[in-house]
Amino acid sequence: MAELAGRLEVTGLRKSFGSQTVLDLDFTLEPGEFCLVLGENGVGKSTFFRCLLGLENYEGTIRVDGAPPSGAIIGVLDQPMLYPKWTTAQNINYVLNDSRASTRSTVRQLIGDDLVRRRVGTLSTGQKKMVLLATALASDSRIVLLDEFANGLDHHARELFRTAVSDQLRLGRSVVATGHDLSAFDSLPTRVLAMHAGTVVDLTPDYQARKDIEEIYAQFLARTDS
Amino acid sequence: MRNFLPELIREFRWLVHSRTALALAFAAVVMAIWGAVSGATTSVSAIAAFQATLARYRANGEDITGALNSPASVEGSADQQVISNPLRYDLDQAALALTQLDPLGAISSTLSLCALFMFPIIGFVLGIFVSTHDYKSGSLAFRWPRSGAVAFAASKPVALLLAMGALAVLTAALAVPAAWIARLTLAEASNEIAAFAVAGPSAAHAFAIGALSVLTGTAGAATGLLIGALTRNRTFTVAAFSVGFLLIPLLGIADPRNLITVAGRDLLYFVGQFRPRPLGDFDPLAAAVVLAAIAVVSVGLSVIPWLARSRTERRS
Repeated sequence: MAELAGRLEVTGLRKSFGSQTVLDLDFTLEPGEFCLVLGENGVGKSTFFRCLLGLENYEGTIRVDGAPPSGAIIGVLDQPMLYPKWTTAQNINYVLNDSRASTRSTVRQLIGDDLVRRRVGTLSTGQKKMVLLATALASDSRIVLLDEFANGLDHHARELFRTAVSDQLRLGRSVVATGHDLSAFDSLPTRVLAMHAGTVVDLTPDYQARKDIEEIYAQFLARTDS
Repeated sequence: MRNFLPELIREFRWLVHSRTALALAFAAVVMAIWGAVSGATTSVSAIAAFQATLARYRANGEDITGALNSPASVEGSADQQVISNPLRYDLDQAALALTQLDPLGAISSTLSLCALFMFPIIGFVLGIFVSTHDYKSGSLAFRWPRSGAVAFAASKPVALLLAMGALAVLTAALAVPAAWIARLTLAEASNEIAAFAVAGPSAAHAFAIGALSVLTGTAGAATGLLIGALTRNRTFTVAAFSVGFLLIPLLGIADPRNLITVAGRDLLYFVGQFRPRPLGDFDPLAAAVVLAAIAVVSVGLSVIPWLARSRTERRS
């Protein structure tokens, strides 16, 4: 499973909507890192993810292990991403383009038989998120993006989420996550960044010193507001 | 392009999971039945006309054997025809109508109806849905990073072409048993004129009609692919196209629908009163080439919106 390890390098990434520049940043992620990106609504976190996934046009370069991503990055975005009338298994098999993808152990670690057979439209928000996570983790992509992922997950789902992601980090896979409910990530993050005015500020030294993400982020917001 | 085949397979997964393939199969059944009913109706009408003329000849004490053994001729324009020997003419028409219920005749007449009316619309609807399903569901956020723009854009028109080809083959295959059943209902009447049976279209003719039906369907599909990529809208585009295609009369020689009738001028197999009349004296082969060119250009243009615009809805 060593092929799941990948180094993400973002250089001079710039994205504008009209005259407003929403992103202007450089970013590097080493294999096995869990990077938590914090930021208020509208600062460009989701746009950053969409650029990484090639869903938006942008200036700059994005490389995974020195090459264009071409499938090396997969993302769970904060938007509908599944066909509601299809079963979970059909959705997973479609996304991963493999008629047996829904039987993979990574998928079964996160979702049970009953969910696999149900139509996605009948699932709760938390169940849909677990399906999306299972799909992303069962792929062969080296970088996994999770946008606002932990919101809406119950206690059990959070445990499953943390266990599954920890397993993937040990395999060398890298994860970039955003969210406002920071408690869901527990001790997963190895790096903490904050986005403000299109750029990123590295809060990792503070995080390593104090491990209290909520407080670090509150102080960051106080500094940027003043 | 190394991702092309996997993306083509993915597009077919969508066709199966979304039950679009099932809807196409249902459409093929409907078209086969439509073709058989149309063929049977025309045959019944033609045989009835022959029997009425025969009764009139008998009532008038005319020489029936002589009339049946003499050829009929038609003179004059399409609007005002003068038919010599109406008995033989009606017999020929009845015999010709019955060829629609032979295997090759059934395939030819059913696919002629499809090429002219149904396949362009089915193709357009399919093109719209193939163009928009990833965007509408949001699954594009999973697919696009893995497929890449080229494989994504290439898989869709090829899937449409193959789907229209499969639809034509299935419709042709179903037209044969449907026509056979229809023929059973006309057994008694058709036996009366069995001695005067005429040859229907050849296998090559039927194949050419099949190819034309795939071409018109694919041209419709490619148009749908482009409109879908531009508008990302389903309901209005499908409704507008269907109404426009079926209800608005031909607007002139430049009307794209005229290309279908021109391309099928010497090919489409219609027996009875209905005859599509092409506008202008154009070369059928040239019209077919223009139809193919429209499909190719539409496919090429459909790539531009995907490259130029955001691939998902912006939410932050």
